[in-house]
Amino acid sequence: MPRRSLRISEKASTTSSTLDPATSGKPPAGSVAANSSQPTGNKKASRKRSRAERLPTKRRKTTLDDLEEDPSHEQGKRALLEDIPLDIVFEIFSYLDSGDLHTLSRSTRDFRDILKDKSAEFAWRRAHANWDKPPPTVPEGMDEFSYAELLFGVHCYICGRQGKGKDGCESPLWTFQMRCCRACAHSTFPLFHVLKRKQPEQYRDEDILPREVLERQYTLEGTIPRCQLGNTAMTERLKEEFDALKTEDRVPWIIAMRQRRKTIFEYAGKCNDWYLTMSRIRRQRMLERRSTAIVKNLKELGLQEEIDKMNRHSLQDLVQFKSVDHTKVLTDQEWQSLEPELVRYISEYKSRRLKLEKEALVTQRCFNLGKALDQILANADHRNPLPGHGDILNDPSFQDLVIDTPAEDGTLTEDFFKSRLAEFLPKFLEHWVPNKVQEMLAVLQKAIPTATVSDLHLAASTFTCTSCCQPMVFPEMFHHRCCFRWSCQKPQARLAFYTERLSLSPWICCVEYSPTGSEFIYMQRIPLWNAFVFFIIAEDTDGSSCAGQELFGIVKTRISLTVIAKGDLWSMRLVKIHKLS
Amino acid sequence: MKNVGESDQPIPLPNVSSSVLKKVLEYCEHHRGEPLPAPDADTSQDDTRKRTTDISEWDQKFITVDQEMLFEIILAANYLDIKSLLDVGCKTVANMIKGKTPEEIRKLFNIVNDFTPEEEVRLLALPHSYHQLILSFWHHQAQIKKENEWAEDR
Repeated sequence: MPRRSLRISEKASTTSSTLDPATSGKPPAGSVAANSSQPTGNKKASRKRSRAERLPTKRRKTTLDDLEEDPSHEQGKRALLEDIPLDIVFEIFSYLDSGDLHTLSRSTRDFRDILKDKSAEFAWRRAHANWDKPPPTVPEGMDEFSYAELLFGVHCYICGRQGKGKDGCESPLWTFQMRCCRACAHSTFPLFHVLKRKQPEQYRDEDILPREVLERQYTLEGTIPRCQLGNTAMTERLKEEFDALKTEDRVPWIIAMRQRRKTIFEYAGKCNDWYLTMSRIRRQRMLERRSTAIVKNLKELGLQEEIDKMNRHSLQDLVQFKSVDHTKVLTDQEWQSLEPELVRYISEYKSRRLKLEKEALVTQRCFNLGKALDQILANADHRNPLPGHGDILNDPSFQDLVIDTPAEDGTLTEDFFKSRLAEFLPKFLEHWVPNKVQEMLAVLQKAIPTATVSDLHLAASTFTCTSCCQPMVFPEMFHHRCCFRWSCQKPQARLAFYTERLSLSPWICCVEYSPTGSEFIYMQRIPLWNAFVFFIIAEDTDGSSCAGQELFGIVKTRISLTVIAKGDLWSMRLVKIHKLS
Repeated sequence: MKNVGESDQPIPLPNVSSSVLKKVLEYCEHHRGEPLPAPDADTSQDDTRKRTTDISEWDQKFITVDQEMLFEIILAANYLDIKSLLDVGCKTVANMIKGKTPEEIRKLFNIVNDFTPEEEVRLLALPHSYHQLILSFWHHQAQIKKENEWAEDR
């Protein structure tokens, strides 16, 4: 309990000096660190402290740039190792995991010396426990510092190279208790079967020789095959042990060695499992840190608004941009090379986003306009042709309104369109309805040159869609979907995209006269809310005239149709019902 | 001040500056009446329970100071034997270290990298026993290579 004892002893010494100033003379001068170097009864703490004092941490002179980078980071009078007592430093270590301790040991010589010391082993043990899933205990014959280096190091023990890649030393060789890259492994260790052949016959096939497996690796140059490596030094040691044994002791020795190798293999498996899990967690953590750094830099460039608007997937794409997806800390140099690409990515994203937002906005306005139109037309006379949504949107004034009104203007609601249409529609219908009637008459007159407008309303005047061959009567074609297909007519360019996507083209005549389907009841769903329009054509008993238009109307349900049919005074023959849903 | 007893005499605190003492008093004032932590309940060296660095919201706000002040508070808490404040300080420093790279740690504590390039790569990475192990292998290299080539030919 070094911290506690040190604290109490300091306190006691101060208290005594406070109580008896005459005996103490001057009050304790200097820092607590100075006090802690005095004999306190805790030899370990004193030893550590004296080491830290012997090897004072070198402090970098703070430059102006540093201060600008981190205004909160003042040129401190205090430093972690110089001024904080070592027992408190160890208290701080107790909150870190062993990976962080290993990182600390790589930061300066002082930290390394402290953590490499035998007396720091308890700190390592405590740090291992700070993992959610602690690593296996340190293997026999290995000190904690070397074990941490094996677990968290990144350098090849032989060539000093670091990192992944074809020759990278990603995973340690647990059985050999070392870490090395593939190239060094091949050049250092012999192939297992070659080494095995040289061993005494008595045990070479007894599964006691240490070995490591280098798994198959796929590279751009080709596949590197899986291979097993032996360890000359370990094998030699076994041979020495074996040779030193008496003949009768050799069999038990072989059994013991076999068991030992099994234990080592199991331990290596546990280590490898833990290592892979930890590597995944660390990689994830590093990626998150890198992402945070990138996002922070981008925000400093004034792109915060755009980044905030990015959805999860886009943000993921951004931070895992091909040149970003590294599990390394983002350096200034790297950022400089990344910046133009990322800025371009964000500007492209922005233009895509704005386009999509505009599309959604215009679509919503078209939808509002359509709903308003449907509500107005629900009360109109359905014996006349009625315009579709596209006919209204084809009007330049509505196009300008829908497209050019700024996004912030939230006035283009359903009610707004309703009031606008109430003013607009009467004038519009004045010229639109006669025009369409004339168009239909022209179709009729192709077959019956003497036909007049009144002939359009006869039961005998039936038409067929040239696209889907569906029979229909006047004015059913003004609700027929083929007549609103964008391919029939190119709408005005400004709304072309929306009319194509939403099938909101203006009405176009794509029907022809067809005298064959004279008697039928036809039902078609038209774009009115929860309503069906039934076009019922009925013949008189003599078959010569038609009064079907009298039944024309909007019925809300199928039952209503039945009522109408039962109350019908005419003899009707149900020929065909089309349900278009 | 149990050890001092009741006294009208001022108690000098030579190791604590007034600004730090203000902060310490602010902390004590806020936590007045809270039960004291059990003495050395979890500070044993052999204690291998996981220790979290969670800090309460108020404490976190309280300890958001520059590094200089943070260290001063830690020293003062240690000197005045205020364990809970010391823990908050230690947790804060630990949180500052967590997840950082060696370079970031150097920058954080304003210290220079005093490793030689050789030390940084090799001596740190190469535990003593393996250094010897590899040296002993070194003179066998030519022979091993030759044998491997022979085995691959086979």
